[in-house]
Amino acid sequence: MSVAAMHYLPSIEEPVLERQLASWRSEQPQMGVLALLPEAEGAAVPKLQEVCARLNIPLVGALFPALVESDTFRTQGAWILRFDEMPYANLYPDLPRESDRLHAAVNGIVADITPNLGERREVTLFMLFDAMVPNIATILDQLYLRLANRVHYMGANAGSESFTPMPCLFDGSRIVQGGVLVLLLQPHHGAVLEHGYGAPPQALQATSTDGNRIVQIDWRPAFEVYQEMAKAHYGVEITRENFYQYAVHFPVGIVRANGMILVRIPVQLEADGSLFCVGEVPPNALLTLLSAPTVDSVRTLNALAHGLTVLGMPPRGRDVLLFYCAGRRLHLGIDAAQDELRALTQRFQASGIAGVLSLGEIGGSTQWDYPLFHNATLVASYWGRSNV
Amino acid sequence: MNREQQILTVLYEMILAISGEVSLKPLLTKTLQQLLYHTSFPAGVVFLEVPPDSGAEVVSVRLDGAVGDFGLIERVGNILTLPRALVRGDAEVCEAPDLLAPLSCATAQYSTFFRLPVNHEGLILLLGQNIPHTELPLTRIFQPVMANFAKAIELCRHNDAYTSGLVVQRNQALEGVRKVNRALKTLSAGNEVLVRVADETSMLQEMCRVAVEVGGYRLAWVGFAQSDEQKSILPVAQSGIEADYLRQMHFSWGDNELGRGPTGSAVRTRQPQVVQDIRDDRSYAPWRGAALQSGFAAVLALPLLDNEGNAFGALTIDAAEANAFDSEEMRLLSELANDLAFGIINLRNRVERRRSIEKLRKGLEDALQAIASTIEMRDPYTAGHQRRVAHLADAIAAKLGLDPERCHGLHLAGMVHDVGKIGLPAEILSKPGKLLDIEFDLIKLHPSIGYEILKDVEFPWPIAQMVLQHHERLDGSGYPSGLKGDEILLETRILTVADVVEATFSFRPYRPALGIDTALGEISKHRGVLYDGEVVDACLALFEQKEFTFDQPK
Repeated sequence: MSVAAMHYLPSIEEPVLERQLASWRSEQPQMGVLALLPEAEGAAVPKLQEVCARLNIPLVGALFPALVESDTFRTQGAWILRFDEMPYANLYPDLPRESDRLHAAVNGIVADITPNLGERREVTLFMLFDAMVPNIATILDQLYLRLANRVHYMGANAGSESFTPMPCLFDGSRIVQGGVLVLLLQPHHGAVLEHGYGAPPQALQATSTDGNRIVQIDWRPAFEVYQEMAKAHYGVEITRENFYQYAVHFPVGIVRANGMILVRIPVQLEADGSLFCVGEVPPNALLTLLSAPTVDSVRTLNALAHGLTVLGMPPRGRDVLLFYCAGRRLHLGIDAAQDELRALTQRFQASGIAGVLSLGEIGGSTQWDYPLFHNATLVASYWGRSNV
Repeated sequence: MNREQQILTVLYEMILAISGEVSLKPLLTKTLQQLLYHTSFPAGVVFLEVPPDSGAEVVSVRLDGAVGDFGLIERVGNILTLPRALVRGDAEVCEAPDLLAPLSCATAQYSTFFRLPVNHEGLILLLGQNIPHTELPLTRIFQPVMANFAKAIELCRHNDAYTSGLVVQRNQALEGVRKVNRALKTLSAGNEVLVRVADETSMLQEMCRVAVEVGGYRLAWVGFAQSDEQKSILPVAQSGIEADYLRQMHFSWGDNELGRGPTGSAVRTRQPQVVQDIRDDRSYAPWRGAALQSGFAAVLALPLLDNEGNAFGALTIDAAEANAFDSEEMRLLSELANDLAFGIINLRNRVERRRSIEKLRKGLEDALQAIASTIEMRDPYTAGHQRRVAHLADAIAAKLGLDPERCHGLHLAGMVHDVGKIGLPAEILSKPGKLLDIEFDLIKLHPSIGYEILKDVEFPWPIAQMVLQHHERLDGSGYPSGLKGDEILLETRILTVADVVEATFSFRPYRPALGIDTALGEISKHRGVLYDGEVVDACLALFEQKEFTFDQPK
């Protein structure tokens, strides 16, 4: 696959789009397109669908808070990424919440995927979820129980940065919400995920949780304890009024037995004092309050570059697909995040970096790692056949 | 919270997550998932029954659970042969690709493992390509979790055993309900047959069909005990298999080899007999081969008892599954057999009663015919008159829609309506020319005389009344009582019209035959005055539509 397999359109104009797609198709008649758009360009989705339908090119895509183009965040335009041959793709809207129905839905997804796995060893299950789906970690666990190591796992959450429900996943004819877009990339070696958050010594226990909500910490209302921790450790007074301003700066870390942290960003303060996070929090999980200074960007970027090297080759001169967590950008602040992007661009020396600002990420720190649903991470993967 | 406290809290979380499971398979999956989540190893396997160490270099052990490796998940339940050095030993994180070769495959190559013994019998192995980064002593921190896991395994095993026991009980209960429902449906459909079917052959056949089609039994047949030398049982109805099956069989109700099977025993002992498994029941030996070939496994034979409690036959039901009949089902099917026996006896009694009634009726009719003949012998001019009146009255009644039984009564009344003339002098009856008043007064007595003759004879119909009233007229101008309108029986109003039409039509000593047109003119002229309008209309319609003609009067 050539460098031209990833193309950024500064604005979505039909003739330009059509010209680009037609040019690609003349090289790759079996091609398909993954389109990544910022939420501000949501109105352009029908235009994309129309052009692709006219050219008979399969299309899938999603809307994100913003795009990453090389070392810059963009809220206009679109990334169009070419598949030389359209892979298996399926859009599942309105995923259920109840355990029995969810079980059946996951079984359905697995049943659809399985016949398309083929004999190849290197297959990546690439998932783009609507960030409003409340049970992504559970779905991921269930998929891993059934598919195990038959695939690599990689994915991210789409949607609005304001967590306003909106249709954000699309294919050639539909745009849906509350679901997942599933693709089988093959051959593909998966992705590398890293956040670089360190665990501070202070930790407390989530004594009551309900899916994405932390109801109690240490048997007290979650927000009360959250306020005390922020005050005690970082000297910050968090109130109901300034919660949305500060919460992203103090995400919650779920501590694992190996000392690794799973980040959860509180995005909503409920009336009962519970904290609504992006991603489920296991009952009785050990929680810690994270803050900006604990992020080690250098370590994060080194880990990513090393991880990509382990996937097959160093990123220099390759096309890289990047998911950069929106929460991380808020957490670090726009300038620090921009710096991190620049550092990543320099560190990778990739021929191109196509990315989005995501609302949660799926993957592992290394290839064949136990896949988990994270917040506040960077996920990097190679794009295109020649780069896998 | 220091690091030790953190570890304890994480362990607490793990133990709580694990102890939420109540069944073994989910427990193993959940535990492996928790360990993978907390250690970042991608795959894990669990063995619950590692054999005691015999010193051998390899150990054969059953794989009880796997997460994260599709190849190993597919091998769950299989016996794996693993190196002793992998299976034996304390908790350890180790890089040893050679030891892991039996667990690796083309799609997953492992270089490192994390061994976690579970008490002295079980083992968990977490598998990976690299040792995941951690600053914590993994080998030590999970020991409390493993101790708790071992207890959870025991509890889940107990619970699974208890649950499977409950499932067995529930299935047994459901099977019992299914059988009772089957019998109830058969009983209900059988009762419907008893109400609906009016002859014995159909009843027997239908009952067998119901047992097979509604009850789902494989064969149902009815046999009647014969009084022959062999005390044989003759199949008279069957459903479920081809007729040849029973034709090849011989059954007896005698105390002999062919009589000791369920059917013969049921007739002889007058008690239900069941063979729950024909394969090992000695008494069923004479029929076993053919029965097994036809797919039968259990047989229930139910005696058919008459009112005195004697068995006159048996209903035999064959099922495809062994132990098909439980006590409640047998009770319900016995009820079905009792209903069938009752139905048969009832039908037979009904036939007998009908025969008696027919005989009695015939006797009465013969007596009436004899009376009619007597009067006709005395009065040749009325010879045939009563018979023709009877026919016409019968036809008018049918035209008016009266039921056949009522028509028949009217016919009989017509046959004897002039029986009272037997008490009048023959000279008056056959006198040519006009009668004197006194003679006519005598003639007018014949309805009352006829009534006197017949009134004490018990007919199912009001024949004496019809005879008494047959000269009454609608407007009250008739005799002997001057009855009007509805005071006169409908049958009599019909009889009157028939009598007038026939009398006018035929020859009389005092005048020639006037013909049918005159006869019909007479009743039309007095329609609704002397004669019932509807009856007149029906009579006119009969002739106009040529539905009735008189035979030639004598």
